[in-house]
Amino acid sequence: MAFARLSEGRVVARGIAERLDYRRSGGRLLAFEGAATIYPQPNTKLAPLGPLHLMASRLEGEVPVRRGTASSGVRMDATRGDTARTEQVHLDGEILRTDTRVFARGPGYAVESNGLLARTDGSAVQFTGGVAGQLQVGQ
Amino acid sequence: MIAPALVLAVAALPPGPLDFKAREMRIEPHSRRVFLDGDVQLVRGDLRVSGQHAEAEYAEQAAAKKAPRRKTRTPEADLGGQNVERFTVDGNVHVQRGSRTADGERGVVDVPAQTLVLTGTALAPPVVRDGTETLSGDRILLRLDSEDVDVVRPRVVLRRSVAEEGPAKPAIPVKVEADRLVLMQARKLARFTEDVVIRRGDAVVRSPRMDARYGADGELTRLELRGGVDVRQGDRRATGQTADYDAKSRTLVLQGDPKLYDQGDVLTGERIDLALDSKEVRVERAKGRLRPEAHKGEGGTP
Repeated sequence: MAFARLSEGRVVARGIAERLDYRRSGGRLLAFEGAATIYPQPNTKLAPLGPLHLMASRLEGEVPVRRGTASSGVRMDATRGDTARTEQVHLDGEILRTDTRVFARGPGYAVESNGLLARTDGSAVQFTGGVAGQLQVGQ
Repeated sequence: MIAPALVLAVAALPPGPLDFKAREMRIEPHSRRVFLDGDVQLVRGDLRVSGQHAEAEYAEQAAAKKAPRRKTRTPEADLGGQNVERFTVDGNVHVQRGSRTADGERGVVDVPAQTLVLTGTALAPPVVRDGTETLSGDRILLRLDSEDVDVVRPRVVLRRSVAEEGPAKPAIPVKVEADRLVLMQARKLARFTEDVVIRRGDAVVRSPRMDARYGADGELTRLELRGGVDVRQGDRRATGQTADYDAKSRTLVLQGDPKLYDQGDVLTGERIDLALDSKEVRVERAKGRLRPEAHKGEGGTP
């Protein structure tokens, strides 16, 4: 099935899932093999990354309070070239967080960390819990 | 001697990935910056830099696109897209390259310029060490593509220069202060400029410029002072346009209208040799004014 989310007449996210259960009363959502594309608002700190593609084997959460968990293998790809993989990630309001191992790379960097803390508006993307990786050095 | 000891065989910081470790990493794509916090370690080839915080600034993307892409041996060797052109490391910065180490409060690596600039605080200036040799100053610039070091207001103790005095004699350290020091390893030369002051025991020598030359093993062979020299040792003062210090004989030779002032005596000549240890003076083609009464009671020392 396919879905789309609109905000102020603009598509801010669209996606597909192999199976999706949604209980309207509590706004609870459960999806399997989901993939979504998020379109950052122009002029936000997320905008330089371009549209974000999210994939997870299992997604569950409460839509009205913007709380949920993506698990069983989560992958995030940005149009700019950034990509991150982790086992599960939690969304709580504007905060995206995980304490599982994260592998990420993008233009000019590659990093492994033991956690991730990010704001959904892109104002902060922080790898936590000990990090190691590489930065590309120019000449 | 400090200059060759501090300037070791190094290669330029090559393009490619730089390894890092830290407690946390923050990415700011909009400002093209990566921040590392907590026990930061940066490693590239034989260069290791550690500190508490680091900030990596990526080049403008347009400039990065213009940069020629290098063929790499492994996919991991090229992270693609953007290149870091500047690192700033703060907080107990420690640099290691070969046997040379350096410490400071802040280190800035400018990749296009191939330099690492270390600064410190008034109480803890940046320091470069190699073995027992130590060099500090207000600002230390290490060149990454050559073996040269540029120091603003250096404070140097030339320990190895006094090794030839032998174990029987206590070593007298030679301390050098100046506004600027450039170490040029290829020429085995350390050039001190602007208000150079050399202190050795009770001898103080001042000159606008001094070149220190070294032998193959890093030992001091010669000091060359130019542009006017003023030597004071006890009550004695000597001046000249140039002075050359020979490390083996530990003798300072003044030339260029040299003059010696000693308790009322004034001597001039073609050349004045001052032996800094024995305090003996030799004046060639001397002429001047002597006041023997001023030397009554002296025990044979001129």
